[in-house]
Parts: sequence; C-alpha cells; structure tokens
Amino acid sequence: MSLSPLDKRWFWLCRFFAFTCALIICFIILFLFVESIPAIQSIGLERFFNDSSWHPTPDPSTGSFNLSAMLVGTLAATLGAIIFAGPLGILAAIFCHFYAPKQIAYLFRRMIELLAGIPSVVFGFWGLVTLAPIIRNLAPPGPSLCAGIIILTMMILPTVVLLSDAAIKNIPKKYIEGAAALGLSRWSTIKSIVIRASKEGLSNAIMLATGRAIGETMAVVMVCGNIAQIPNSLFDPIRTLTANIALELGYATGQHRSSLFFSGLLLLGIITMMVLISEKLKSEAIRD
Amino acid sequence: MTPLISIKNLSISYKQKFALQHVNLDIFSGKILALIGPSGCGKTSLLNCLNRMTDLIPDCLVTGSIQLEQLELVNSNIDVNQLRQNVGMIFQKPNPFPLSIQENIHLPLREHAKLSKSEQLGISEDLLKRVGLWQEVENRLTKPALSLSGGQQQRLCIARALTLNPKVLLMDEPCSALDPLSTEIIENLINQIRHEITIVIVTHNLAQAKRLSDQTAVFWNHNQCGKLIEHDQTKKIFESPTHPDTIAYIKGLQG
Amino acid sequence: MTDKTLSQDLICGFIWCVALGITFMFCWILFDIISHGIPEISWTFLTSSVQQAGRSGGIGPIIISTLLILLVCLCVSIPLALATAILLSEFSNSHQRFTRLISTSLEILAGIPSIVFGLFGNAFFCIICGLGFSILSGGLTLACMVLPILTRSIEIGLRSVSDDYRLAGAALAIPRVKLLWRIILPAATPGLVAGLMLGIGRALAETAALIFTSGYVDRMPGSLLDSGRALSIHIYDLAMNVSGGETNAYATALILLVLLLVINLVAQWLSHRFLYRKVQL
Repeated sequence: MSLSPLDKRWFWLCRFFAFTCALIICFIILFLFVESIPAIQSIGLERFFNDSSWHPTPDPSTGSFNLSAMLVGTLAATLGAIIFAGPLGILAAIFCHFYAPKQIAYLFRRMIELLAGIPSVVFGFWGLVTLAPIIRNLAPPGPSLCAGIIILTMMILPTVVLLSDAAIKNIPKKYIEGAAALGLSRWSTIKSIVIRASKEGLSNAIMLATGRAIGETMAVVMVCGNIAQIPNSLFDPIRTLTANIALELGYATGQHRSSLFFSGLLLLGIITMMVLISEKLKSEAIRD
Repeated sequence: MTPLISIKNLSISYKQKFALQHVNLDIFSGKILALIGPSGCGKTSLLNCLNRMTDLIPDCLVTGSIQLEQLELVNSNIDVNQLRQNVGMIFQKPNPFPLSIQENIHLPLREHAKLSKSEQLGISEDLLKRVGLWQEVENRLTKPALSLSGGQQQRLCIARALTLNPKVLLMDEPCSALDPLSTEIIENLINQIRHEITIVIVTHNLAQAKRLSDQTAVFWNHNQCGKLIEHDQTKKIFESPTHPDTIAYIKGLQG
Repeated sequence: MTDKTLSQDLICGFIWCVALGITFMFCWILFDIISHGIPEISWTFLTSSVQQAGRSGGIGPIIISTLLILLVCLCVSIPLALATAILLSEFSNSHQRFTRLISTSLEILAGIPSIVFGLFGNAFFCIICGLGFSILSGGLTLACMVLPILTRSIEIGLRSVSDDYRLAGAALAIPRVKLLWRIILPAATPGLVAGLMLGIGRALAETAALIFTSGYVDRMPGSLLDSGRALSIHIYDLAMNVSGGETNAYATALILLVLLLVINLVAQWLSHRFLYRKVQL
C-alpha cells in the first residue's frame, strides 16, 4: 500500500500515540510486579493460599496472608451475576430488535444507556440503604453474597444488553430477509439464525461483562459485608479481592501494602486469562 | 383459465411517495412471468407484495387487492409465515445463512415439518441433486455455506426455497450478481422446474426474459411513479409491442 | 399448529416480562434516589462548602474537583484515543503485527479492574512521579482507564463507515487523511460522540481508581496539585464512614445522576447538529 507524504506523517503520529497506549499496559504490569515482589519474596506464594486466615501486618513473620477467601468471594459473586445478567441481557437485546414496537425499543435502549451510566457507587449506595435491609428481613445480616449478586447483575446488565444489541444489529439484513422468505417463525429465526450469526459478538458481550463483574469494587464494598470468609450460603457476607484492596490500601504499609499489590496482580492475571480465552474463541469462530 | 394470483388496482407507496400505481395483472399457474422495465419502476416492490415481505419495510403502504387462490394478501390478517411457505423467494444477492451447507436446507425443513435426521438428509440430497449442486458439495456438506461461489450459493438458495414445496417462486434478478456461466446454469435450472412451479422473475436482462418467460409485463416510470404499461405473451411483447415506451425499450436494447 | 403458536406466545410473553422487569428495577433505583435527594437540593447546597464531614453544608468544592479531574482526564485521553483508533481502523492493513499488539494491549487494558488502576496510579503518579494525592494524579489515572473504551468506540464508529467511501477516495487519489477528516470522521460522528459519552460517563462515575490517587480532601482545590474529592467518593464516604450522612449522600447521588444525564443530552444534541451541518454541505 502506498501512502502519500501527508498520509505518512499522520501515520507516524498515530503510531506514536498508539505506542504510548501500549506502553501504559506495560507500565501497569511492571509496577504491579515491582510493588508485589517484596511480598512474593518474603511471604512466598504458598502462604497466600495456605495461611490460616487474612490478618496481614507490615512484618511478614507476625501476620497471616491467606487470600483464598477473597478469591472465592470474587468468583462466587461474578458467577452469580453472569448467570443472571447473561441470558437476561441477551433476551433484552432480542426484545429490542424483534419484539418491541419501534418507539418502545427506542425508549428501552435509551433507558439501558442511562442505566449503563449510573455510577457503581450509586448502585452500591442504593444496595446499602434499600436492598440490604430487604435482604436482612429475609435472612440476616443483609449485606451478603446475595446482595452482591443482585447489584452486580444490575450493573453488568447494560453492558450485556448494549453489546448484544450492537452484535445483533450487525447481522446482515439479508439473513433476516432470507429467514422471513422461508416463513420461519420469529423465535426460530432468532434461535437458528440471529444467535448463531452473532455468536461472536454475544460471547464477547458476556466476556466483557464478566470482566466488569470481577473488577467491580465500590458497589461490592458497600453491599457485600466485607468479612473475609468462605461463604456457606447465599446470605453470608463475603469480601472480594477488589474490596480487600479498597478497604486496606489506605493504611497498609510494608509487606501488607505489597501483598495488596500482589492481589492486584492476581486480578490482572485472571482478567488477562479471560481476554486471551475470548481472543482464542474469536479466532476459532473465524476458522470454523 | 382462472389465474393463480390476480392483482387488482395495486398501489405501493413508501412514506407517501408512490412506487407503483394501479397495477392489474394476472399470474397463471405453471407459467413463468417476467417483470421487466427500467430501474426504480416498482418491479421489486410488486414482488415483495406477493409474499408480504413489504411487512419488513417500515413506512410501506400497500393498497388494492392481491388474491392467491381466493386468499386476500393485501393488509389482511393472514398467517404470513404460512403464506411465505407457499410463495418462496430468491434474492438478487445470494443469501445463504452463515451455517453449514446442509444446515441451510435442514433449517426450514425442521421448522415446518417433523422429520427424522435421515429423512432430512434424504430430502436435502434430493434437493441438492435437483439444483445440480450435489456433485460439487457432496463431500463438504458440513462446511460453511458462505465458502461456496456466488453461483453455487444462489443454487443453494433455490434448493432452500424448494424445501417448502412452494406453489410460487419469486425471483428478484436472481442472476444479476452472477457471472454468465453461473447464469446459464441457473437458467437451465429454472427451465427444469418450470412445469412444477409458478415463477415470477424480475430481470433487467431482456434476452433472459425472452428466453425464459411465457408472459412478460413491462413497467415504466411516469412522473416518478411506476406503472404497468403492457403485459402479454412474451412472444407478442417482443415481436409486436404496442405501447410506444415498450417499443423504445425493446428497440433500445436490441440496437 | 396451535401448539406452535402457544409456545411462540409464551416466549413472547417471557421476553416482555424480562424487559418489564429490567425497567421496573431501573425505575425503582431512580425513584428512590430522586425522592430522597430532591428535598435537600438547593443553590446553597451546590455552592457552599462541606461541613461536619458532609453531614451538613454543601458540595461546592466537590463539584469543582470533579470537573477538574474530568478535564485533566479528557485532555490527555482524547488525542491518544483518536490517534490510536485511526491507526487501528484506517491504517490497520499495513502493519499487521504492530496493530495487533496495540489492539490486544487495549483489550487487556479494557478488562483491568478500576481498583488496579488505583493501585498503579498510587504507585506511579502519586509516589514515583511525586504528584502526591492530587487532582492531576487522579485525572491521569482516569485517562489511562478510559483510554480503551474511548479508543474502541471510536474505532467501531470509524469501521462502521462504509468501505465504499474509502475505495471511492482512493480511486480519486485523495490522501487518506483528507478523506478521513472530510468524509469518514463526519460520517462516524454519532459513534464517536457515543464513545466520548461512554468515556465521560465512566470517568465521572469512577470511585475506586480515585480513592488512592486524588484523595479525600473536601476543601476547595487551589491548584491541580491539590487533593480533591470527587462526587462519587463523597457519596461513598458519606454512606460508609459518616453516620448520619445518608441524606446528603442521596442529594449528592442525585446531582451526579443529573450531571451524567446532562452530559448525555448535550452529547446527543451536538451530534445531531454536527450531522445536520454536514448534510447541508
């Protein structure tokens, strides 16, 4: 491809800026590593999973540093949220395209966009003052895994809806026309053509939403109760990895601070793995 | 002879702008009717009315009457999906679904009848043989339909439309996106099935209309609105047209 | 046949229920915030300073801090995101490896939890760069955070413009950059504005990345190097750490929501105006 001189200058400018973007991720990984190396060296990886509990101190010999309760908390809340938000979100997107009258679909999309814009701290606040008391009446103490799942579901739902909506919109019109010309019913068209033709976009929507659920901090801090324990039921309080960082970074020093950076690294690891899996899914979908 | 489809005083408008006005036309069973005329004179719109694809177009208003064996199609409360099983459609650009070749055939089969897997396979083999695609795809039935060439895709779409045993097949310039060789194959295919099915074909290729059709309807643009100016036996339209616009149109393309 | 129609109707009903359920939850939250927040809001609440850790007084300095953080964030992230998106969508076929590297790193960046940005911002901007807890640290951290969203939505907007324009431009030997500014960017405006909206929304809503970068101080900031408390942090602090802060937390939440709504509407209005002007040209 040949570029004119003007294009070349712009091309290099763009490359420079883009390179800066790539540099940021390198910097983030680098800093998490640098800050967590002291903890990894003096505490050791196995103690993060084998210690009796999470009672960190700046001096590694006196504290205990077990992160697994937080890991379980994060996974439980995320899984719960995605089980609800995934199907509901995709159905809502289908609603917009195939069931709702034009005006209602328009209003519904607007509403979902607004819902997507509601800050996590507002969700958390609402969960804390409205939802948690309701759950307390059902099964004390209120702030719990259950509250966390409900709030997370509501928070990632717009992500799923908007991305699925976009994926469905991208389906070539000729498929829909073809299905109509064959007299396929609405649901068969959706099931056999729409979902399959937008498979890649839909799974990507779920993946991104999962990532958001794992990383969500403030809402979870406010509604989950923040007790570092492995939950026995839906109504037990939990503490997630993210909540742990948000609660403790303010006063953490020494190895305690370093181990918080390590848990950040752990989060990053989980997310990166998911991104790589979704990339792999994508490339396999293309090869099929 | 009673017509299979009779169209009376049909008008189609998009956003209050008429695309086609006052069309009266009879379509006879087992014949091929060609719709010809310059671009934008409402041929495709007419075709879309015959299986209610117009429902998919927002702001499209149809008035008048179309009767398919005593069934009123215009603005009536009929089961559209049932109608579309009886009136199949082939599009200008081949549009196989992004599924495997065989799944493209099985999908409409499954939708409209309860068949076992082996019955489905049998039917799809028959259909693919009928459209002359079997030998080409026999060994790759589970491969994506989109990996086929344009001509093959169009034949697959025809096979797909035939799964439902439609009474009428609407073809919207089925060959305009294809090369001459594929066009010839499709034309042969149309000639093979012409006695079993009624075909309405929109074409810009006058030679094709002349070769294939029994009857021809000529559409023309008057004051930015489509009109049916002449319709008769194909032979008569091409040999002794009466309307001055038809004469010009046919001459222009002959000369 | 009736069996089939029945199941079709059931599915249809179920899908309507899903949509109604979502709408209901949304209205519930909104109603709750509005009904509790409105009585507290007045001009003095918006302009006066914070008193008794937020139990009384207003949120004037907090609004100013929030806007400053946002300004820093956008000044840094928009040029970066636009350039990167242009590279990915317009020049992507020329240097495959490089663009793939960029898009993969953006993909990972997009997935990084905001609290991790907080960790990074705290370690890098606050401590290494010596900016301390300040509006500048907070804004820069947010800029890193919204970069992937901005870039991706701009890229999607650009890609959604039909390739016919690009081919037509190439056939007329118009430099790509001119084509980009004159045809493709205007055509992609709705997508770009939507992306910008998402970015601003995310930045304004962010709490976790700011707690440990821009800090908690609730006084009026004197410069970009002062610590400033964002609206979202104010809500968090009032709800979690200040007993009796609930009423003001409701009011602040309502202000934040209204702010987000206004930004939304302004962005939409701009995009319509922009499109209209371009059509007339």
